[in-house]
Amino acid sequence: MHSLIFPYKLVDRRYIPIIPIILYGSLETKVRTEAYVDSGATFSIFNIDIAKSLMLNLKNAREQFFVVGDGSFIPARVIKIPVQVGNEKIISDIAFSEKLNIGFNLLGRKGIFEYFDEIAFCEKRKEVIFRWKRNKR
Amino acid sequence: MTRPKRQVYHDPNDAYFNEHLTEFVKEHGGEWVIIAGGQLIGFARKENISILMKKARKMFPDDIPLLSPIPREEELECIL
Repeated sequence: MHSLIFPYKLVDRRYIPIIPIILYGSLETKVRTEAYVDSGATFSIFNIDIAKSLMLNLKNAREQFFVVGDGSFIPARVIKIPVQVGNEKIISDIAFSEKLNIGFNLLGRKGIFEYFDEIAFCEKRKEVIFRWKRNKR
Repeated sequence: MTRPKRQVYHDPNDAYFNEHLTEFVKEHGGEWVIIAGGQLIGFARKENISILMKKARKMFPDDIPLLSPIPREEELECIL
């Protein structure tokens, strides 16, 4: 079993499971960004400005609405793109929204969590661990 | 039997982000930060992101720049 460990980020005495990931766009454009590992989120949702930096054309991307914490719906465009977590590059559905008015991108279960064999939040050691078996790769 | 392989992720841009995150939140919450080559390129409102990204790519053509929103202090208080 392989384990890739991301220490929680410390912000003013609070530890938060934010990890770096790489998103791939058009014309070999790549952007590294930070995303909150959210086991309660079904989808991964990123701010639309990331899509702009990746030069992604979202006109033909699927439109979908997502329920957020206050019960309201936000529109997003869902597109399949390569995403890299550590050295693991996968193709995943990623939603981009201009209404994601929080200072985090969210990394959800669909397409990301389900690729790995296990994702563990270790609160004592303040780290999130992505595990996978060698023979799956 | 092979031993399990444990690797702690490390990237210079992420390390810079991690080291300065508290200060970013206090002074630049709600903005974006761009880091490349392990150094700060700058902070931007959303309309200026592309200018700083171009600068980062020009300064460090072989690097993948880090572009991240910076949370506001109040957003850290109550994340669902």
